[in-house]
Amino acid sequence: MLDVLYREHAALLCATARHRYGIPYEDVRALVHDIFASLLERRPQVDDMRAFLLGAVQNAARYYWRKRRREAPLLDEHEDTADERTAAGIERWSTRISLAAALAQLGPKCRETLRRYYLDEEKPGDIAHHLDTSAAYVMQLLSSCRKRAREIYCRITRAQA
Amino acid sequence: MNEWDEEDWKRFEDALRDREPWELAAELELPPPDTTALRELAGRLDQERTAAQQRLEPLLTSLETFERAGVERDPAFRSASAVSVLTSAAMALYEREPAFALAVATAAVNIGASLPEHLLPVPAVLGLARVERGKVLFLIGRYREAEEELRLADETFDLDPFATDWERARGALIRANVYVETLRLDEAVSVARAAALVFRVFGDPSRFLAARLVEGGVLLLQREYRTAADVLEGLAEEARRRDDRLHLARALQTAGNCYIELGEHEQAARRFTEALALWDELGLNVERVRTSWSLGVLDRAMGDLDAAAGRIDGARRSFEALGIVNDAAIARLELAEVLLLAQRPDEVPDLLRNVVVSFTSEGLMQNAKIALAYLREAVEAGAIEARIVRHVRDYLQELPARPESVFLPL
Repeated sequence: MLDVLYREHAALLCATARHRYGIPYEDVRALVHDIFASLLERRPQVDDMRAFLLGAVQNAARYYWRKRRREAPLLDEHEDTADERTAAGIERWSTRISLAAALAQLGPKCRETLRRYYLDEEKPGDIAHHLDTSAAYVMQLLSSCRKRAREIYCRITRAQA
Repeated sequence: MNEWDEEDWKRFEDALRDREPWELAAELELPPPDTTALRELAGRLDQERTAAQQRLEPLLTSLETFERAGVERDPAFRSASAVSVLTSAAMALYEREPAFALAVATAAVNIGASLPEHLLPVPAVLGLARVERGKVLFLIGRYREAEEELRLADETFDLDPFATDWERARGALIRANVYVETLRLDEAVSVARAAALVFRVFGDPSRFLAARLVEGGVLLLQREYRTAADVLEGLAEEARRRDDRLHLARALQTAGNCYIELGEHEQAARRFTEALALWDELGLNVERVRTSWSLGVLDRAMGDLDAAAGRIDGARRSFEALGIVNDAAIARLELAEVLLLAQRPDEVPDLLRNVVVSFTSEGLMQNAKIALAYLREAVEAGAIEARIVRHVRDYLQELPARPESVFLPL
């Protein structure tokens, strides 16, 4: 159980701790380790372990920054979840990190094509030129890669749906 | 997989235009941190828990066996694992055998509270034991003690850097229910809403429903029967969709009570009957007794006083057997009222001579005794009437919520 949980979620928690809560790189792994260690002791029974862990990392980050309140100010996202705005913020983050996890699982060609098209806003013709293929093939590739990304994304977020 | 509509695809494509997921994706490809230390910890905890389970299992067969064993005094059980195993055992027992559950949860708390720091590295383990003890105390109507235990639970969670809002919200949910029972309705709604949000964020739909149900219950107490019934029907639907039978039954039970007040007796009967079947299926005897009591109240509302007396008497006997003293007393008074209305006064004096209530607060107990003495006087004088019994019942029912209120005879 631990191996599965860890394989599926550890990287996600590290990225969340670092990017959402600003935990310094050198402390991230220890923090995530401690979250899992505490989890082993308590064994919470919840339906959606991924959501639980994302909530747990928020609480752990809050504690982390409270201990270091002289080093950096506490931000909104470090505060309690018991208001609609903060809860919505966590849920938005959860969507973004799920998409990131889906992109990380895509093959390199798909990821490259989607990235050029959506993030870099390249035209299909330019992408075709770069990949040494036709614009029609790029259109087909975009369609299948988008579907594949969606499949992975839905699998990751299935427990929440 | 769910079908996506145009709007879903648009949101997905918009998200793909955001830089952050792409940057995070690169980081997510890095190998996860090493698990060796965690595996060792998991192995050690498994061993400890299995050992505690094996030692405790033979003692958890009955309240008598458990009390005779004196686990709190036995050094073999001085471990965080024993606290966890006892907490889980109390959770499994509290609906079926509340007195046994209380003994087990109390042992978990006492053991956990006596452990030095190195034997209790995660204080939240004790915090959860306190939450469960608070829950049992709530269930048997010892509200003040339940609140105190929940306060101690929060203090314990404060000692644990990795305690989560989810654990605190579990305590808050019980606190909200205590507030409902003691008629602090605004506080109940506010605490329950905050807890519901946490459960939503932490992916705990079952407790999310439980927290939302508190709001339905409050609307009922505020006599907003139609709004309450609508809210509860919505929650019942959600619970049905999730195959969450426990909260489906709770929503149906409370909705049924709303329909009695609205005079929609058939709707009420349908909800209670379904709830009853669910309690049977879930093996939750205390809840079954409450629904059966509600069916008695429905019979009374429909004018079938003999059927009402039969059902309320059954509920009264069951509460007495389960040691749920105050509910047994209220059922006894309601039964007396129904018997008087049914022109069956002969059975009433014996019933009313033996009303027993239990409050830990001396002041409450004193007030309750005054009300019961008034009742007994009326019985002995042969002047007992349904309205007198009703007056005493209303007073006792509201006493935990209004501890300062003085009993005024009719």
